[in-house]
Amino acid sequence: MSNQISLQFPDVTVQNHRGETRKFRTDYVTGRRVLIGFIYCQCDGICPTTTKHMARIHQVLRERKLDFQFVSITVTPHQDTVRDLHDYAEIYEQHRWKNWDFVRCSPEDLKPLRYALGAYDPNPAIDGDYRQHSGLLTFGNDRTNRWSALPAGMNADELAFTVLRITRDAAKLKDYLQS
Amino acid sequence: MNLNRRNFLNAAATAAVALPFIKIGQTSAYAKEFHGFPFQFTPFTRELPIPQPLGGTPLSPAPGTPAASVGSEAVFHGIAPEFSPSHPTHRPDWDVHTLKTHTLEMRKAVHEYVPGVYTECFTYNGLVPGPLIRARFGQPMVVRTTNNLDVETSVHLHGGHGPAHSDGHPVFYVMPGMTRDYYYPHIVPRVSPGGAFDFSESPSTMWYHDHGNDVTGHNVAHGLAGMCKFTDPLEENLMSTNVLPDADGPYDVPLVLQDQALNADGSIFYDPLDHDGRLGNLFIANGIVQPKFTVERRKYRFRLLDGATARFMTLRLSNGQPFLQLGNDSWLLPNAVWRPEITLSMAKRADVIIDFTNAPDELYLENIMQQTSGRGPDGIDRTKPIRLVKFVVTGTRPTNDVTVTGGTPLRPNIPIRDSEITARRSFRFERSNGAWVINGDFYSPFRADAVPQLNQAEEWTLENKSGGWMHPIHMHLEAHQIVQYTGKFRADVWLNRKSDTAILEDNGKVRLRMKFRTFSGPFSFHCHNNEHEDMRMMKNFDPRPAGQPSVLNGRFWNVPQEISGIPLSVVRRNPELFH
Repeated sequence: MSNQISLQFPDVTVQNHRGETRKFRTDYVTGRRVLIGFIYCQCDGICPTTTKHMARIHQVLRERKLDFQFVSITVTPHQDTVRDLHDYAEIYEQHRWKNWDFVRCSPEDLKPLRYALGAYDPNPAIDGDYRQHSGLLTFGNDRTNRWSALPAGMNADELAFTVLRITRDAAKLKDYLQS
Repeated sequence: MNLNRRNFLNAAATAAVALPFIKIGQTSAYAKEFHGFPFQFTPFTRELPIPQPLGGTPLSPAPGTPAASVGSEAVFHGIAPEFSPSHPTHRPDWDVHTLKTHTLEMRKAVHEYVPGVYTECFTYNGLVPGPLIRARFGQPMVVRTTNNLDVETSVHLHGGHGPAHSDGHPVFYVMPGMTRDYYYPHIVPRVSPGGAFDFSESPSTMWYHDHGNDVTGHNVAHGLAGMCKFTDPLEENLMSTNVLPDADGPYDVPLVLQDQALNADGSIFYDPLDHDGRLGNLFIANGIVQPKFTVERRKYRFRLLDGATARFMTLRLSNGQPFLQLGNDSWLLPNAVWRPEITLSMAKRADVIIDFTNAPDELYLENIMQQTSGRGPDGIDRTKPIRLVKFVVTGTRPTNDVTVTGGTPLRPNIPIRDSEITARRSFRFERSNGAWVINGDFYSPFRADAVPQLNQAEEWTLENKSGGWMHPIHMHLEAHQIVQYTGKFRADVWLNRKSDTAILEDNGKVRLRMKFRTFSGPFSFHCHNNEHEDMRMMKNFDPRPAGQPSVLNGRFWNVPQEISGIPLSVVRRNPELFH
């Protein structure tokens, strides 16, 4: 299929909060259900809400016993270390999940990654200011090639349910109800 | 790097092997640059297709019967409760003519936008655009609509005045594999509760398109849109007295104008993570790229629709002759008016006469609005017309051409007076961390953001504080009347006339008046840049009798299943499917 959305995601190398090296597309996206958010460790703006809402969505998906991956990408890789990311994850008590990585990439790789994931602003002044970074959650299912993004600040339960609807494997209602 | 259009197309052609393709990290006017593979073709060779009316089909089981009610095997999503003649809203004078029934299937089909390039589209009954819906005042209609796609859909009749169940509320889905009976009574609001029908409110040119939550842009870009012609006794009289062409004849032509972006292999390019607004490099009329239309040397009525997801258009004729504008959005104007240029945003319509009587043998419908970003247009450039349709004029002048001309009275317009306004509301449209908020809120399908009193008039002020973005705001249920417009576009045909879509320009402001008649909701109003809509730039209103609360109170399972068309047993067990 030529319009496989995930092919637009650069397969950049990232480090997670456990100090492990991962390839973004290969390890997190290909063939999987994934949700991606953007944070930075010193953020006192949108990030706490983003992470708390991701935690709630993570809980809902966990309860459904679904296979999924969460990725929180720092928008200040020039200042956030692996240690900082681990501390950040620990503050929100989300450091223990094998399927939620808090990651940093090289500063040069960040912009292509953000743009591919729809986390950008066409106004360069806003886009260049990490304090005004995107508060979107980008999510999809590479198996069904269905992707969407929604404001992280929305009602968390509505977000979780929307993620379930859009990333479900069985499209037809009857198939879904039987699965 | 300064990318002009030619450089961009060349760059895209060079790089089109990796698809979908986004050039990343370059300095340019817009963030996501692949707007479609630059196919080579000779324009204006294929004849313009004319959407044909959807034929009638008997329905079994009959609509409204237990075997076709909510949760049934045949019609899982049921029919609007207002279909029942015993429903308190349903009055005997609704049913002037006998019920018309149709079937509509949403399915994938191969379509040829570009000659020799085969594109898998989402279609209504296999057609792009969908079949013409031919509606008459007082002729109730049930369209049994089945979704055989792999994505949720919800069909909105844009400009219609009908029940909430059949209005295309974003989460009142037709689920994949399921069927909904869309009931259109095809009535108009009344002068007063229980009074006569207000024929000044009869629509003429509506359209229907997908409205599914978070997927509207995707589904419309894939082909889910079609036109609807509506006539009432007043307009039928204009036709029978030869003022306007017969709505069912060859001189009344729906013209759906869209842009489109395809991958090199012909598949539709849609990046669900481009939230600015999707632009394409192909200019499509009635489903094919840059067609020609062979016309007779006489007057034609064209019902022009900007059916793009994010592109504004300013239309003109290449020989400089003006349009005779008959209508704005769904409604005829009080008098026909000559217009050299007409600006449309997404979802807006202009009903026009083009008089080919003294036209050259060849002329073009052109778009002179330049646009390189989904945020909004760059502005008019009269030196860079984009040709949309070529008209080839043939034959001799008829002796019995229609008589409409500048000033011809069409449909009366009754202004909503100051003294009728019972409430005023303000809505601020702003950007927030890459998303949209209205009055600071993100959209929830389950929250009533306004509960107007049924059958009253209100004045709403819409303000765009989003900095550099334009937002055409569409109000469901009824016409609104714009009483104040702040912006650069020429607004005279909008002011104090009926519209259903009001353009909020960059830092623009619109003050409008609207009545909320006949039907309780929920209904929505939203930005008609479909990508902004999918990022939930939307709100709900729910007209109710005084003191009655909205059915939207935060939980889907509190909405009666007859209104949503979603069985409560399924909503309770699987709420995630209906968000």
